[in-house]
Amino acid sequence: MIRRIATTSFLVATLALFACGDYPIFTEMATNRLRVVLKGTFESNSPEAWGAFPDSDDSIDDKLGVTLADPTTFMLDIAEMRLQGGGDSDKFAFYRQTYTFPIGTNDEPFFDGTGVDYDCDDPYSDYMYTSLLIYIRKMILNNAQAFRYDGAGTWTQVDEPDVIFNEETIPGFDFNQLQYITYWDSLRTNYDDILRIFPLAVEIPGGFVFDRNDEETVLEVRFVVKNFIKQFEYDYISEGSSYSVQYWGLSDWLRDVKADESVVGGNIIAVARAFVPGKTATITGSAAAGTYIVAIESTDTIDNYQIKVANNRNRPASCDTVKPPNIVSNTIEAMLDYYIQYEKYRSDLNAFIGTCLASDYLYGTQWDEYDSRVGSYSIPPLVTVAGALNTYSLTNVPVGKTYLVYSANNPAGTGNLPGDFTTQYSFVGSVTIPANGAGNIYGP
Amino acid sequence: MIKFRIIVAVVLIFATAGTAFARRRGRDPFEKPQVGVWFGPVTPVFSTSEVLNTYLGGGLFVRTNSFIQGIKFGLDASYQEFRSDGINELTMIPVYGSLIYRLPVNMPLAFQLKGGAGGARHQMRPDYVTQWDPLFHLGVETSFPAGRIFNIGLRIDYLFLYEGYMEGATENGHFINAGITVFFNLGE
Repeated sequence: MIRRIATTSFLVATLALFACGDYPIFTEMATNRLRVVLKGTFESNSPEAWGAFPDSDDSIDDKLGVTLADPTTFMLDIAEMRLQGGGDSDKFAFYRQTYTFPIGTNDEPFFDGTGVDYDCDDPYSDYMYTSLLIYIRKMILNNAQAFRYDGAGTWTQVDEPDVIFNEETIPGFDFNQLQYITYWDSLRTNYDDILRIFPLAVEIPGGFVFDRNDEETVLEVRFVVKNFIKQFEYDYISEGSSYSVQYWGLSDWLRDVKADESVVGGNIIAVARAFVPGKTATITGSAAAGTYIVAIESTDTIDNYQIKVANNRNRPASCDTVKPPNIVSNTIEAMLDYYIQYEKYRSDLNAFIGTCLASDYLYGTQWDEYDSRVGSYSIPPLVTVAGALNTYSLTNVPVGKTYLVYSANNPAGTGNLPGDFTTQYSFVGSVTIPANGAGNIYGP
Repeated sequence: MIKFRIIVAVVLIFATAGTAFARRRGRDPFEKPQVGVWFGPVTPVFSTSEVLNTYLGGGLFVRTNSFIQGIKFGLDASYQEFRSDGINELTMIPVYGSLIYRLPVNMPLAFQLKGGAGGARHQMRPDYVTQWDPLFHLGVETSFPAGRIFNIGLRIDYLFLYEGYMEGATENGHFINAGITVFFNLGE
């Protein structure tokens, strides 16, 4: 009996050989239809050329008068990316990748609007993702310098800072380690668990729904690096001496960095958007050369992309915490100066606690309000700059939607973005691109 | 697919005739019908290892003598779940029949070579596709008796999931199942 059952089972099992699906599962797992494209520009296409690097940030107060050589290389180390919807994040791009981008050349894909690819798998189909989480290990700009304070106003240049990147020691400064938001993060009881770039949460305006029936989908990720670089100071005390590292980092246009604040977080401004090649159109028009042109979906509001109130990026008027002294050397005079300043710091801190950390918690209220004010700013998904012929062209605009087109004057100098109170967006017109309008050109 | 059908048809003919030639052989308990379980790591290999990670799996099997001495018919079914560093996940239920040849070695250890075919039911995420694919199998196994009805062994099986016939397919599935096994000799 057992033998008959076993023999019959053998036959039935063998018949399963004729089971034939029509979806190549293993090929699908090994290939992908989604492309993640990284760009280091504010503009989604045709960005401005590299401009001159701005003067040092006004937060530099220890070693003054250092003029760094312009940075020539931007290095980026990304551990992974995840897509976040309503539930847990999906690890669709679990691939560590490092990049080295030359600065100053306008044909580098990361900086010329083309973008560079980041390896990924396909995420879940027909699921609404609202944000992209980028786990950034390192961001490095070269041409930093370091100085040691030797007392009596004397600073001595020491070895150029170096950092391990892609398993090699290279000259440069990793400003990724400073990505805390001043005070709002660094004075929290859980500040050890906060790092604004691990992950960096990137909003996807309007969300992103992946459709695996499309041959290719591009997820464009932009964070502003080009023309957004500034010189900062990072000071620290080691073995009884003060050191000042002057380095290039990303502009503190959004969240101001003040003297003796070592952290510079909250200034990596990013956005992500998706489009399907072959299902896009182009928006063109005329505007004075250098004018920023922005298009947002009609369901969106331009207020999300500009700061309407004057001085709205200003930090809280009061409750800026007092800072401990940070200049010391091994000379007796410098040590005495340090301890005198330290006593003053303790006195000031007591006053600060009485005023700002009392039961009404003025400190927390003001900084929460500040962070929600500047934290709501994001860069528009579709941006370009009018060229020398006084025309502009927004490319890869998804079809089947209505867009509102705005323009803004170009803010003077690098390290600034449009949408500030002084460079508000003006409505240009609306554009409706029908679902069958792929490949066509439309104007507001 | 025509070649496969011919192969399976030949196997079916011999299998059907098997009971006619059946005879009671020897007093070796190992030649009785057997039923057992196995448990161990299931490992994607070759190109499949690039998209899935090793996990744990387990299964059931039954075996009985065929009409050829030293060769058994076997039926294996198992449950295997694979995850990855990323988003890919695969749940696989292979079901296959096999011919099992016991090497004529006069030792307490039994050595067996296995080969067979069948199908595997998959569910793949994130695409949420569920389907059956044809499967081919090769394996080796060694075991020793722990009494008249109880055997303990080690088995290693290679499963080849064939998708090359599908439009657009460039990959097939490759898995190694390794595990410890316990099985029982049944009947008189």
